[in-house]
Amino acid sequence: MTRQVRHITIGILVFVCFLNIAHAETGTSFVEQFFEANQAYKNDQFQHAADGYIRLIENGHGNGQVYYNLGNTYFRLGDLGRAILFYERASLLMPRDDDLSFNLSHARNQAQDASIDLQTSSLNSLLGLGGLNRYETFFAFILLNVLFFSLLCIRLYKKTEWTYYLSIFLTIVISVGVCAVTLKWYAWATDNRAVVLSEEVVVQAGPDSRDTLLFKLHAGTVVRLERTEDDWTLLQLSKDKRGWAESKHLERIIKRNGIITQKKVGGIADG
Amino acid sequence: MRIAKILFPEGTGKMIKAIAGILCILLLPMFTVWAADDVTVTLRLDRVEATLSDTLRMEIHVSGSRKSDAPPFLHGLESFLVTNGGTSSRMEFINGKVNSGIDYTYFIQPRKTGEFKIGPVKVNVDGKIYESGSQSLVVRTASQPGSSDRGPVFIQASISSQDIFVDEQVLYTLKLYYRVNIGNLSLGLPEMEYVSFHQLGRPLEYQSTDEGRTYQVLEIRHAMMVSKQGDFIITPSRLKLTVRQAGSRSRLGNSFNDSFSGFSSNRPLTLTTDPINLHVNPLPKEGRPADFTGLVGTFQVASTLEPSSLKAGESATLTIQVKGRGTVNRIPDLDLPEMDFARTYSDQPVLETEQSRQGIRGTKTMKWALVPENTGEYKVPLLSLSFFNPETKKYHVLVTPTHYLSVLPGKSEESVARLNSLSDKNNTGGRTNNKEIQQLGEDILPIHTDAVDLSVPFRFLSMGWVLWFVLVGPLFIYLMLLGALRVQRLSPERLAQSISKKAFSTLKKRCQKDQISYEDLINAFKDYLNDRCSLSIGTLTADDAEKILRDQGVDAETAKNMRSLVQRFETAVYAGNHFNDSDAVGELLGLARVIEKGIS
Repeated sequence: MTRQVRHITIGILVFVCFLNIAHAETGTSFVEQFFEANQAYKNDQFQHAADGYIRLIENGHGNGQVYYNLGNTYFRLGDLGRAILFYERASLLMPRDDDLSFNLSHARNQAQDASIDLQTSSLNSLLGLGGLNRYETFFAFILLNVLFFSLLCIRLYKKTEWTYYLSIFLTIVISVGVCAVTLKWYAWATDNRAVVLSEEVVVQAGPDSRDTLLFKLHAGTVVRLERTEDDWTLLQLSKDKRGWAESKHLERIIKRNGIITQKKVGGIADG
Repeated sequence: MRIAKILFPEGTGKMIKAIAGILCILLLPMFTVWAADDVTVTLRLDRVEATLSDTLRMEIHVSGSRKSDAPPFLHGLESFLVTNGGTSSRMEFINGKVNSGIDYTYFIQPRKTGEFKIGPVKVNVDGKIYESGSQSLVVRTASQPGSSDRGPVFIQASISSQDIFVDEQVLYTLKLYYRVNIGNLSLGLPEMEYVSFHQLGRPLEYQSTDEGRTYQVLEIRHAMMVSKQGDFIITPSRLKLTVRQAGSRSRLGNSFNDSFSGFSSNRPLTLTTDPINLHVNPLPKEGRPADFTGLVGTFQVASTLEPSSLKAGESATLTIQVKGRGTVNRIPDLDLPEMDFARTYSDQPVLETEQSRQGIRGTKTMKWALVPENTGEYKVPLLSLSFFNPETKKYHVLVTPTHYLSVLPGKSEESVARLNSLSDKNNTGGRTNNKEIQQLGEDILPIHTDAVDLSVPFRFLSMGWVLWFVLVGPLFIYLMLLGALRVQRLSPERLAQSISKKAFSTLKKRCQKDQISYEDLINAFKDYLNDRCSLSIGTLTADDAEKILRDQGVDAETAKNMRSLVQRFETAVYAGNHFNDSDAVGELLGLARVIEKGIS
């Protein structure tokens, strides 16, 4: 490899590491906030703990652990709707965490309404994407991408038999990877689930309080949102369970304020 | 008269009478009030002799007042059941006098025999107490069964046996005979310690004849059990009912064939049964089986084993049913002993009871799943159950039928054997009897306190430009490298070769100018030769051209033609002819084509 290529490669690696370090940097104050919130939780000062976790999320440190702890805090506060909301957000960031799965399952069991799985896609399961969050999926694809083009670069200088077969293999793998990333992105981009936060929500046939009462939902139920008109939202649980409810009773699991960019809405960072 | 006629003209008599009648009605309350000053209280019984099964009508008439300050106070009714029959007020004109009054009606039923003095009755009117007289009443015993007169309504109680065993189920039957309209029935069963009653089904209604009279009969059956030995007297059952009168005059028999007030049509009545003697024997100690659990009655046992032939590792179901009449709630849960050849899994026993007119019957079903582990022919252990039969006055032992289980080799035999070996390795000393782990509580798991990294891994990818950079970057780098490599690989020889290939086209382009000079043609050809043959000639002469072409492998004639053409161009330049004709250019390009093919 020529000196020129080496310089380019080193430059890229340094750049990526810089980006990672820049984002991975955690100020001491945030760690202190985290420990302080944890201590408040252990001392049964759940509201204080919740405030601490929310502050961390607002400051861009809303990782899976913080969302999980916030879910626990709301569970202890008896706010089942918010507990499930933050467990769901945590599961988007750390889908393989067993504690989270247990607590989310327990919280769902506490809810009055039977839970319906609105997220699982058979294709996602087939490609094994359920265990990865979207950042991990993108990063895995990027690694694959870098590996593939690195191999092509090597073949510019040295065309051996093993690089030939490896490049064919990587071509197949990267094709599957493109499908997987597309699916993951699509699933995330079209994830319009929301959690019922109020104790009881009346679902009606139209966006008016005088419309016919269809059914009632209770705190912690996950629904799919379709569209919003004024202060009303059309929601759906299944084909035969859909209707309008006041938007103030619901909160989306993923805030729609950008594609991947992190934004703050209502004090809670986008998951 | 004139004055009268003037005052009362003809035809006014009827009118006067009408007015007078209206005045009388209007003034009636005044007379009533006036008459109230003379208040009298009268007590009347509908008869002076009665039996214990009779209900008497007692009327209290208060005259001279249409109201009293309080209900009448009744004396001499300590030995009677008293039921209020209602109150009515009245106003009557007798011989031009207006009498008003209030009537109180009561129904009284004697509770014991004897001679009684009913009354006096005290009534408080306007703060003043008025008293009635009293009446005598003789109460005799009720008509005995078998006697010719038992009245229109009577009740009988009987039990199926008066000499029974402890916990034996006997039938306690109540029969209500009636030939009048009755309603509002309310039954009170005997309340006794150690004696329990369970009603068997709905009451039965039918017709029956007693002493030549046809009665409607209402039959109510109860299962009765006594849980303690000894002599008992079953106290009377009490049935309260209302006898309905069809009209003002009674259509009843003797007891009710009395005058009634036209305002009342129902008469309450309480009937009681005769006490019944009962002797309860203890269960005999002699012959009592060791496993006797207090089951008294008649019972049978049945069992099935399905399938009786199966492969090792498969499951067969052993079903045992114990059914019978008696103390079905005491049918024990049978224990299936451990079997060497099979694992057993018991099901929850189910007890079903039904109430027939013959008593309480029940069926208890017990099931076991048998999973044999080894091939062979095996006998299922027998199960036994003992009970006391009051009819035979003996203890009986029930034994389940013999069942054989034929076990064939099966796929799961190996797995069962493996399980057994594991069990042996665990040194349990035998077969383990694992139980499902019981969930004792539910709660969430604790918070995560590890704060090594509060950032989200790879979140830098959330910045769009970074994502695009890392996605497109490798491709971009690859393309850059590819380009660099191509540039790097362009050697002078290849460059010369490339220039050589383009020499003729360059010449052609230079010659296509309008009015090109002969000097330019010579230079263009010189450059062509330089490019085509990789030379660096400064000035080209005719001889140089021929020589170069011959050196490059061009045939001699072409080289000579080119020599003469170049010479002609030089001559034209020296002669002052600056611009060529088109034939010269065509000639040059034609020779260049030939040269292009001839150069090796």
